[in-house]
This record gives sequence, C-alpha cells and structure tokens, in this order.
Amino acid sequence: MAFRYPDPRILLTALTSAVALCSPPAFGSSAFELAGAQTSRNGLNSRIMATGAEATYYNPALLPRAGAQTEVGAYFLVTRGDIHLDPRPDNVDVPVSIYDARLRNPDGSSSRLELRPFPTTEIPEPREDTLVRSTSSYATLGVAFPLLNEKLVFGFYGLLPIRNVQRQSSFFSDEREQYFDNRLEFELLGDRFEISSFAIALGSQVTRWLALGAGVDLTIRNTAVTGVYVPDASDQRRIFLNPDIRVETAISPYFGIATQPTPELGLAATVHFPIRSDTDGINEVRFFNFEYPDDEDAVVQTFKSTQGYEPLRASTGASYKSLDEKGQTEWGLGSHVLLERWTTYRDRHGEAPLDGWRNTFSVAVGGVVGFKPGSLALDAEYKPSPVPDQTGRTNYVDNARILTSAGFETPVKVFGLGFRFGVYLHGQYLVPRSVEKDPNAVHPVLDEFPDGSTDLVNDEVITESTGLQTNNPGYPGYSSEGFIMGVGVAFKFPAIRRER
Amino acid sequence: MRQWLVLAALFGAFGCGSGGADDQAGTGGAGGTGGGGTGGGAGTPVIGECPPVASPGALDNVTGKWAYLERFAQLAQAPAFPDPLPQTIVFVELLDISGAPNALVVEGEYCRHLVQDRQSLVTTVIPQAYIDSLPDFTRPATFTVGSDGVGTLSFPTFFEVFGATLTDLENEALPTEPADPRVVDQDNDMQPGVTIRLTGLVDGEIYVTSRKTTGFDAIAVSADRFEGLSQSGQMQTILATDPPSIKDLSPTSVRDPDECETTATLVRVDANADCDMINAQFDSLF
Repeated sequence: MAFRYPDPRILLTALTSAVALCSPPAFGSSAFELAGAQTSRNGLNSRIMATGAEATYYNPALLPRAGAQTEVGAYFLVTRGDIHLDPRPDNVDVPVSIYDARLRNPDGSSSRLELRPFPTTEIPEPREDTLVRSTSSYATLGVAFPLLNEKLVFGFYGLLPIRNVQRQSSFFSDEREQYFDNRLEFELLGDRFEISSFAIALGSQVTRWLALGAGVDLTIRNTAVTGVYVPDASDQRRIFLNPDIRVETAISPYFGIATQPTPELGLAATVHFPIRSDTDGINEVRFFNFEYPDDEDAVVQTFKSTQGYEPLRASTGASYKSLDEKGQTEWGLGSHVLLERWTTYRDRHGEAPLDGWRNTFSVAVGGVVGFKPGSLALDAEYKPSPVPDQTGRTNYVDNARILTSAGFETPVKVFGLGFRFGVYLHGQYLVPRSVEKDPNAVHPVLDEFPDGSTDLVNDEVITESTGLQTNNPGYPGYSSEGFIMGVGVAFKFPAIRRER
Repeated sequence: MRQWLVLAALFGAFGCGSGGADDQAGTGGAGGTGGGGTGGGAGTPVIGECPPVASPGALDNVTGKWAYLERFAQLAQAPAFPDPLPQTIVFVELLDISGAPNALVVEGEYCRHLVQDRQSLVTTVIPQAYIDSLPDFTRPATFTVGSDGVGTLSFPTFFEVFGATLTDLENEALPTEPADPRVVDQDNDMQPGVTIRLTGLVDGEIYVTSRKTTGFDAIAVSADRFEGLSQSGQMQTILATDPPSIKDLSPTSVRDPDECETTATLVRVDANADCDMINAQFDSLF
C-alpha cells in the first residue's frame, strides 16, 4: 500500500489549533484595535462583517457563520509619525540656581522644593522633535472549529509581532519626562503596536435568526518583587539583586450578538470590557549597618506601570448583502459605530490624565463585491481622538485617524490543494493637530521654579524665579501628524466559505 | 533609588557632632596642645605646618584686631556607609584683643560659619540667618613669651550654646525636643533652635541646638600670625528635621584622630577691618 502524505491543510489546521491551545498568555488587545483585522476582507468592519476566524475577537456571535476555517497570515505596517515642537521662548529655562532654592511660604518661612527640575542646561537629553519611522511585522493565526455544528463553534485568533514579541516603553506625558528621554510620544501608538494578542471565544447559532458569542482576552499581570542588598551606600554601582517575577493570567470578557432577520440583513452588537496589563513592582532594599524605621526590615520602594489599556468598547451595526442563487455574496454593505469609554483611561504609569479624556464614537462603513473568481472589499473608518487639546500640563499626543482598508480574496491551488488566498492593504491618516499651551488652562503648565523662591544660604528672593520656568517638553506647544500603511497576505481554507 | 538620597543625607545632616542628648561627640576641652617647636626664625616664618613651627621673637604685642579661623574635623559614621565620612566645621571670627598680656580681653563677633563636607554627595549649608544670629562674645586670654622667645597665645576653654538658653553652659544637657522651654528660635526662622540645610543628593533642614567649646594654645609663627592645634569641638542635638526621616537615621560622629585637622589660626588684620573685609579675603587671608 503506497504511503499517502497527509493533506497539508489538515496539518496546518492541526498546527494552528495547537498554537491556539498552547499559546502563551495573551498580553492585550491593543494591536487588534489599532488596525482592525489586518488579514480579513472587511477588516475595519469585522464587528459586523466578519466571515472568518477574526470573528473570534471582533464578534464571536459571527463564528457560526464562519464554520470550519483556518487561516495563517502575515502583515507589515509602516508607521511614520512626526511631533514637531514649537520653539521655546528664551526666558523660560530653569536656571542653575534651582539647586540653591527653597520655597517661600506665606508666613515668611521657607520649605523644601516640591518639584525638583533639572536646570535646563543640565537636562541629559536635549528637547527635540519626535520622528517615528518604524516598521512592524506580524503573524496572524486563526481557527474557527465547530464543536457541535453551528450550535457551538470554537474560535481562536492571534496576532504575534514577529520582531518584538512584547515591548513596553514607558514615558511621562508632562514635565517629568525631562528626567528621561525628554520626548513627546504618540500616546496610543508606539509600543501598543507591539503587543502579542490572542483571543478565544465560543459562538452559537441559537436559532436560525439569533447567534450569541462570548470570549475572553487573556492578559497578564506581572508582580516583580526584587530584593536588593547594598553593601556600600557610597558605591552605588555595586548591588546584589534577587528578582522574583511572577506572571499571572487575567481575563477580560467580551460578548457579541448577531441577528439575521432575513438572509440578506444582519444586525449585530458587541461589548468588550476594559483590559490592561499591569506591572506592580516592589523593591526591598537592605543596606549594610542600617536600622530600618517602623519595624521594617527593608526600605520598600513601589512602582506601577500599565500597558495597552483598552477601555470598555461597545458597538452596534448592520449589514446587507445580495446573494446569488448559490448563496454566494454578489455584493454587501455594512456599517457599525463603536463607543469607546476613554474617560477611564490609564496611562503607562497607571495614572488618570489630569484633563479627562473623552468617550468617542467611531464610524466605519464597508462593502464587498463578489465575482468570479474572488471578492473585493473596501472599508473606511473615522476614529476621533479621545484626547482633549493639551493646553495644560500634560502632553498626551494623539490624532484623529481616518482609516481605509482594501482586501482581495481568490481561490488558489497550491500543489493541487485548494486554498483561499487574500491580499490586504491598510492605511491610516493621522489628521494633523496642533496645540498651544494656555496659562488659563484648568491644569496649566507648572512653574517649576516658583516665583519668590529664596536662596538657601541668605534667604533672599532669587530673581530668576520670576515668571514661568519650565522644562515641560511640550511647552509652548507642538503639532503632530503622520500615517500608517500596511500590507498583508493570508492563506485560508476551506477555499470556499459557506455564507449564510 | 530614593533611599540613597536619605542615606546620603546622614553625614551632611549630622556631621557636626550628632545624635541624641547623651551621645555627644565633638569633644571640647581646655588648653589643648600648644603644638609646635621652634626653629623657623624671625626672618623665615613657616606657616601652615603641622605641628606649627614657631618663629621666636616674631611679636611681643597681641593687642589689636585679628581674624580667627577655627577648624573642627570629625568623622561621621553614617548607616549603610562602611567607612566614616570626613567633615570639617569652620568658624571665622573677628577678634579685638586688648588689655595686659596676662589678662587679655577678647571681644569677638562671628563673620562666617560653614561646613566643608569632604565628600561630594551632600553639601551642608549654614544659612546666613544662622550666622547673623550668632551672638558676639567676650572671653579671656593670655599671651606669654617663653625663654626661647616663642610667643604663645592661650585661649582657655570657653562654652557657647546656640539654639537654647541654658543656665550651665558647660554641663547642662542640651534640649532634645522642640517643645523644651529652653529651646529658642535663635535664627528667627520659625523653626526651633538653629537651622542647618542640606543640598545635593538630599534636600532638607535640620533644627538643632549646639554647644561649641573652644580652647587652644597658639604659637606665633610670624609677626602677624598664630597657629595652634586645638581641642575645640562642637556637639549638637537634633530637635527636628524636614523631612522627618532624616532624624530617624542617626549616625555617630567622632573627632577626627588626625590632630592636624582641628586647628586654630589667627591673622592680624587692619584696625579698621570688619567682617565684610574678612569674608572678602577669606580665601587668601588664612
């Protein structure tokens, strides 16, 4: 009996399923939300028009429509973002005399400085424009697997950055950034593109016209407890460390519902609960020949960081398609609105923005045309920025975005085996935005060298403290713009997708 | 790490002889060493040597105005630091000496007070208000010329207390609590005692009382200069600190065993000299 090689599609399904079952804990969903389903036909409208494994994340109630499907894809994103800083006036530098300064109290006494800025001339990193020129590449994996026909369909959808599986790059969005890179950064881009994202879900066609779905984002919560011993406080380069890092899994659920009053008309709604990846750090520092206060046996330092915060997201939408006599889509349209509750946002240091963010409504529309031998889809979306004009202390840089995508899918045969092959294009335009700092803002730029500060030796007023002195890199204003472009490919099978 | 800063404050904060009321460092003492041998010769004065090198016959009259430099050296053993950290306390005074050699009257005023931290982590700053609050004083002294022609100026032990009013300046324990009725806001900054400030890695204030003890024998090393090794010193109690954590981290201070680091130097100045002139010429005067 001749040996028969197994069908590579089966192998691919098995491999993809194995990845789905054995994948590491997910890290968040930011990458899913930033660019939509990059290797899907209507990637910006997947909450209403998903036809494959991408439904796992965007709307699990659409999983039963996908039936059994497996996809493997890759895509590349090019990001170009510019943040141009306005020139600083000459008289706002923090002078070196800040080192000799104390605050004058109303009663004539003095007290320690509350802020401790660098003299402007001693800031380690110069204040410069931010020019983002980055490329990112991703692998996508997806499986939709009926467990009980349409009554219960399991879905897995994953997105894995190829170069940096995970990157966390923190920065401050106010004058504290002077102590570090002294740059402004795009708040909702950057490392949020480099988060491995996985989702698993179940979908069920409850009745002919009603489908329900539920899934979870799996994220991680890190706790880092580091024991530190300092044998010689006068030689701070020599320390002993014992890190104890624990990674726990946390989940954030989401739900979807889809109805199909007629074969042509579809209605859907989703809700995704907030998700974030927190890191809580504790350093327990011990010293040679040291008595610890308050019955402690170490000096305890704590810190917190947050990555990839995604707020509560709720969507609703509708689709309509014209089917031919074989049930194949001749053409279709879809649209949805997405509410994102950004008022609860926490930045990379786990802090709520001083000037509260706005909830946003995004609107997306899309269409698809079927033809032999494939289909062509187009999407467009407008995403307003949740960030109010940063006229005060903070510099959360964010732009409204106009997104477009196009997808072409066609059946192909590879070594005699039928696949569906897709090519996808993606583009985002960051609508240019400028802000100017306003002294009358609710939380204005801080005067880091308060007027009337006194010299610590002679208690006389330091005249250089008069007026505003700040190292806030966003002062007196800045502008931002940019674009993101991407291209992706995917192999999917079965080659012919059943459409309902 | 933030704790570095607190730690680094220790020697700056308490370097002037620190601790509670009963663990005083910074010794005081009468007389002290006269130091010095002879041999410089009147025509070739040698200054700044340790021990001082006398110049026999260099001068026979000490009345008039003198600039007086006191240096107290000590070692502060701060928690988490394996080695003691050196520090020198400096007072500069303008003295007007009058009277007979065996019963001199010394009227003095303070011109300058500073702490030289012989490390780079923390700088101890004596505010001008502290210096301005240091009271003028009158103390006795004697001047003798030995059979070898060496002139010796002797300052018997003299006690001064800053930041508190004590009945017995020599023996009464210094206050340790701000609420002690003997504590006064001597520098009038609305804080108890007198205020010392820290800057550098640590930024803060220490509110202290202190007992300064001076006494020495200095020998004439030239026609207008006396030098001597001293047993002078200063002890302090800490009433409060800002931030409070500084007070909880009490190092101990001891006199620097290198006797050449604790010295008394007098330089004759013009009859019209005042503190402004002495401060302006500080770097070259001594």
